[in-house]
Amino acid sequence: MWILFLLFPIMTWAFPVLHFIKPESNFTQIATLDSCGTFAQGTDMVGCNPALFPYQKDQGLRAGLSTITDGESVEVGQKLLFDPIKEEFLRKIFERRSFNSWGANSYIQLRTGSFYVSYDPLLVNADVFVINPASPEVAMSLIKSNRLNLTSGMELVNNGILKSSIGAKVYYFRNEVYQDSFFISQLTSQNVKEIIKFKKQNGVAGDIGTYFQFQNAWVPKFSFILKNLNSTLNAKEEDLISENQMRPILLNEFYSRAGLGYDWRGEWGIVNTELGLPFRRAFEELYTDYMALSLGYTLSRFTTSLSYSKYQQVFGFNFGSKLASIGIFYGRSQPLGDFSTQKDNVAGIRIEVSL
Amino acid sequence: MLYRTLTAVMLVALVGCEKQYKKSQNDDVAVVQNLNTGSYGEVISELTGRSSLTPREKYYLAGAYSRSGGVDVFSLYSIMEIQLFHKNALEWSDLSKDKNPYLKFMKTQEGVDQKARKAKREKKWEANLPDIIRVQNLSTVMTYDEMQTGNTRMSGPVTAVSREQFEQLESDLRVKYLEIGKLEISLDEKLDKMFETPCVLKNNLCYELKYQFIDTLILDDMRDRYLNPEKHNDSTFSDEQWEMTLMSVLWNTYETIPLMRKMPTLTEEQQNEVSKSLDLYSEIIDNDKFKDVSLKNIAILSGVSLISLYKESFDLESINSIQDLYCDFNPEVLMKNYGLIRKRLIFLSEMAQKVDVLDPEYDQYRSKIEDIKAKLPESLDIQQQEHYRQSVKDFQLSRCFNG
Repeated sequence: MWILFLLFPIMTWAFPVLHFIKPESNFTQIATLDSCGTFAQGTDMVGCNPALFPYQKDQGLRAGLSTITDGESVEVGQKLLFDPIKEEFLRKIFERRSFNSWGANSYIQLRTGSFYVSYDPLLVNADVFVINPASPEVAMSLIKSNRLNLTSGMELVNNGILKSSIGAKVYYFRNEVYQDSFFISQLTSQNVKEIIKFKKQNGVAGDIGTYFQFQNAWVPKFSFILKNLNSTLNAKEEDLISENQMRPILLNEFYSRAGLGYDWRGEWGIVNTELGLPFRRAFEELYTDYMALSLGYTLSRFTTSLSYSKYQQVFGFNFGSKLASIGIFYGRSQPLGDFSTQKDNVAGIRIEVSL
Repeated sequence: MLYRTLTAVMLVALVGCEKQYKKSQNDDVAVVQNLNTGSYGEVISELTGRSSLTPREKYYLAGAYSRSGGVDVFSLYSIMEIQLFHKNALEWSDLSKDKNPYLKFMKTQEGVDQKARKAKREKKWEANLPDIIRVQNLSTVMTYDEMQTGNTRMSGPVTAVSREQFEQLESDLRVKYLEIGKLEISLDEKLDKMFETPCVLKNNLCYELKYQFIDTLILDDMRDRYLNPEKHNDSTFSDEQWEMTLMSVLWNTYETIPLMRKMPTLTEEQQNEVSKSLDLYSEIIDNDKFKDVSLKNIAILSGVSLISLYKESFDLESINSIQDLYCDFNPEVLMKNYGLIRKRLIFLSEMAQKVDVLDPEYDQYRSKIEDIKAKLPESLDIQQQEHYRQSVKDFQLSRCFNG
């Protein structure tokens, strides 16, 4: 099974790696680079911030998946999966795309007025970086997870001055993780299973979010979220800057987000904006390079969003109905940030159906 | 106004503690980028300018030197049949069935299943023994009754001794024959000892039986050489077995012509770059992370370097048969590069000892190198060079101009 994650994957550059698709990402999260913690006016916003739970109205059983469907990374993954690896192919990887990455998630979710419970059978984030054609070395981060999530929240205050809520998501996780590097020459004398040893982890972790909305239109809405408390996937600082290690960032590790948002509701729909501020651990240091500005527009069940950050830009639209919704997004990314100028153009989909 | 001020203060406070990951935090980012894009000169220039290098930086520098030396290890992987290049990823879990393709590169008789080959040869020997005895004009030890037929080498029918006397004589000589057979001496010495064995009976029967045991010793030696050729393959520059070794080397060479054609031909300058690369790998071979890859890269680089020298001894483009190969072999190239060849072999040997390789296949490989190393003089004197030239010339004269 492990091989599936070798395959689809991706070849990427070591260092901190940015992804579009994260565990439980809903369409808005993908299309706003997760800068949607204050988007209380939309639908399906619990993924953005569990504190938005009291303002969600959808109920029922839903299932869905998100995946990157197009882009050179996907082509590389398909080649790895279905074709023998030719020298020419690896040369091309070195010359043009040392780094590739891929991600996908899937879930089935029961939404009630009191809680959401969901099961994510498969969450994958994979990054592969090939270095040194004189003696090829492959740095990989392959994370396969499944989770059982319980999300709920409540409104704390709702008076003429302030509306505020709190929410939490608790999840039981099982991870299979490989984060290291190996030399291609090792494949000549060792079984791949001996080289790529997956570490198994399980435990309970969670998110806690808060939301504040002042009645004064000049004051932005605020959200503060602690993500992945008690996560077992926290990267060491030295690994984050190592050229032979890859560590996804703002994904599975313990981090936090603050959001400052404005919204306008009109006859022609709702416009949401947010400045998303990600922090290392519990609001310890601000990742200024990963701050994002997002803009969303919702009219009935049609949503379109776009967002911008220094290294990632994304645009997407989503059509929904009571039975299903489908979202398509296009992104441009410099996934290794300052460490490499390699850019990826990707396209992806998110499909959700009512059961 | 108050709210706006508060918002601004909050933002400033947040931005006050910032965290960024920049390539300036890692000195080797540019090195890796240059390696990936083939800018090896820049890698060498950058890393050789530093006062000290980490094992990883030495590994990068070794890679840059090997590429600068014209050795594209990356392309050699496919030549050496890493199954990664032959199977799709779904089958990667089966790669372990195809172990050590590097050793194919150094193919010798050690790749043969010795046990199976010996069993086959034993059967063949037994089946052909009567013909071997006939063709070689040898005899086996006869019984008293067989002696009566008179089909003996020199004495005619045995009539002058009783059966008991014959059996006693035969038994005494057999004990001696068995003792001599176990001695670690040459065949000629064994034959002399057998011949000098005193006889109680002073008649022709004694000599007849001794000759029969002498023939048996000769047959035993032939059998041992046939069943265990590796025991007798002790070639040196002055040994007559050199010709056998040469044949073996030529055969292996013939088999590897397609491989050699794909191998780069290195200039003297490139060989120097390869030497630098090898030296760097030797410095990190004790490091756990780089031990395995260093050893393999050393084997590959040394192999490419040696083959580059070796292939120049042949006109590979015009070889159509194994006869073409040995008839066109030019001994001067190896002679000229003898010093470098010896250096590479000794280096390989030292590295194998240093890492204490446990794999039995590597042990065989190491023992071969050790064997060659022990027999390689520091330099070839005029006499040895002439002997080598003459050996090759004699071989070519006897094999290439016989119509």
